[in-house]
Amino acid sequence: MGGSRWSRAEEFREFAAGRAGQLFRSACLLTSGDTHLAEDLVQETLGRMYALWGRVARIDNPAAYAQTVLVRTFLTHRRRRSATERPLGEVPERLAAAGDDPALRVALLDALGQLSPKDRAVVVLRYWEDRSIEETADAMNVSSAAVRTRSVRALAKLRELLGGSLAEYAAL
Amino acid sequence: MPFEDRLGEALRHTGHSFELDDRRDLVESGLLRGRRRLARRRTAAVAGSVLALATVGLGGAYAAGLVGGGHGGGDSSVAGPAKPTRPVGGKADGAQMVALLKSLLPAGDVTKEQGSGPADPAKPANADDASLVAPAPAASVVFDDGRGAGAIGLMVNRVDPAAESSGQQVSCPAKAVVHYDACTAEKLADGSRFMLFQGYEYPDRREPTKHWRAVLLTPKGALVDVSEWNAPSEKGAATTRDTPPLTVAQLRTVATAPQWLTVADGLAAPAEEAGSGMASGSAVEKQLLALLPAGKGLKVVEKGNQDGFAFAVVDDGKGKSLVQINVQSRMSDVSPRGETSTLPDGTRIGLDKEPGEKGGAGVVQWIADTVRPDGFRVVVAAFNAGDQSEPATRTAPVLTLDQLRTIALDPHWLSMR
Repeated sequence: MGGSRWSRAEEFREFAAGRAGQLFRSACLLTSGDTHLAEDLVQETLGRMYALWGRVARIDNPAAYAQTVLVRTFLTHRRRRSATERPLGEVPERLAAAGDDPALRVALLDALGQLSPKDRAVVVLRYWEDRSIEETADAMNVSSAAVRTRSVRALAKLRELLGGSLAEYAAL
Repeated sequence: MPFEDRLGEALRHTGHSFELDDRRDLVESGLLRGRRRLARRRTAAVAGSVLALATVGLGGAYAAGLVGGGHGGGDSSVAGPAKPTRPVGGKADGAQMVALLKSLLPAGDVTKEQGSGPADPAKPANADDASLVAPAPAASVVFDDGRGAGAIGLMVNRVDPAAESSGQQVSCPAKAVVHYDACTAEKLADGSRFMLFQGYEYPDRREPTKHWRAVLLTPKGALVDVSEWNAPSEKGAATTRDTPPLTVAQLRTVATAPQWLTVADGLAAPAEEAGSGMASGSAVEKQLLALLPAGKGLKVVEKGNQDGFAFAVVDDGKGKSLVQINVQSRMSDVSPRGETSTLPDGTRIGLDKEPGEKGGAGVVQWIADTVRPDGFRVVVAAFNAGDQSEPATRTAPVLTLDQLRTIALDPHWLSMR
């Protein structure tokens, strides 16, 4: 018994170590740059994945499933913590470490921070993870129509907030 | 470049600017949370849900979606129109399990047939193991007698008939812990134990789905566990009728059919219980009762336990009060809530007064949460009600925060590490 339990943990460690970086980056976008909350979300996501591990191993793509679990964790997490949400526009901490042009990143994260959590999740799934409308709807447990509505609204808002600076950004 | 593409590019630049400081630390924390989650799930089997299903070791058959739902159906063999046959040499496959179940049902439409059995190809075990095992014998269908469809699920297992966890399967849960309409537990003429439970899928009835369950445990250790719901799936489907489709007598007939004993005979005798790494429930219960303060005229009116968990409903003459305790290991990442302090030996303590968790009007719980430096955790909570889903029966719990703290810090618990 001890043997298989050990190998289960080992197998999971290998999976988790391979995915943690990407999960963390997604979580940072979802939280609009709150790296502490992002780490917490990744830990919670890995915890949920471990609890499901025996079953998840039979899922086609555990890596993609982990991203879905992350988004769901984020959405429920925000509901719980809404009272203590970080004030809008606060500059995220660890960005100073980033390389070129931190101002644009701050602008992007700030703009993401002005979206509702669900709109932000739609943006991250659609334009960071390149998921289709249907895949996004599935990950968020909502209808495709709801994802379309949120996409349109979120893009309009981001265009309004970032229009000019993104043009520069792409040119870099 | 369209705005969407520019946005995608900006997201990629920004996303990749975030680097993890310490990946290993994050992975280990995630693993720890996962283990806690599994441990909590075991506790919840008593504290929150219906019965101690998970301790039998085949609870996963339901969890994996064998009953209703449709999720996870892909890894169960779907039964064809097989004739009810006796499994060859006792080893049943999924189709035979479904056929046996159908042969025991009254007239009606049967759909959504799913089955598994040890004669099916081996597959990875559920949650707790990654190695290949023979599928447990189980079957589920949606049955409609013309008055509404309801899910029916059945599992057969071989257990140690003398084990505490086996006995729990055929004992009615304490009303203090789980709400239900009726439950009977009896001994049959052949020495088997039989329990019939009529309750709810969600004991707090946030959805009206009823869950009726019959469990048979024979002296040889065959365990037959049949459940039915008044909805076409266990969770997430609207109810279609007032009560589940089989009457109590019909449910009993299915659960006590001799065919299942043949199936159980084909299963390997249970291995030595793996040990959940948790303190024995009866030891926790005994210790909890021993530590209740003397001289307050406390009368214990109800008690119960499961691995690492025990409760007692006590009455000091001024109303019932539920006291419950969890004894757990590897909980060093838990931060006790409320008024916190740390002992010189590094034990962290949190004392807190919180609203009850199960919706009883005016119910409060007072909690002493203690985490020793090695992660050994003892949490004691007392409620101002004998049952936290019913309205409060008294203004304050029967024990003070200080008394709860004393119980939690008692050195006797350390022997259960």
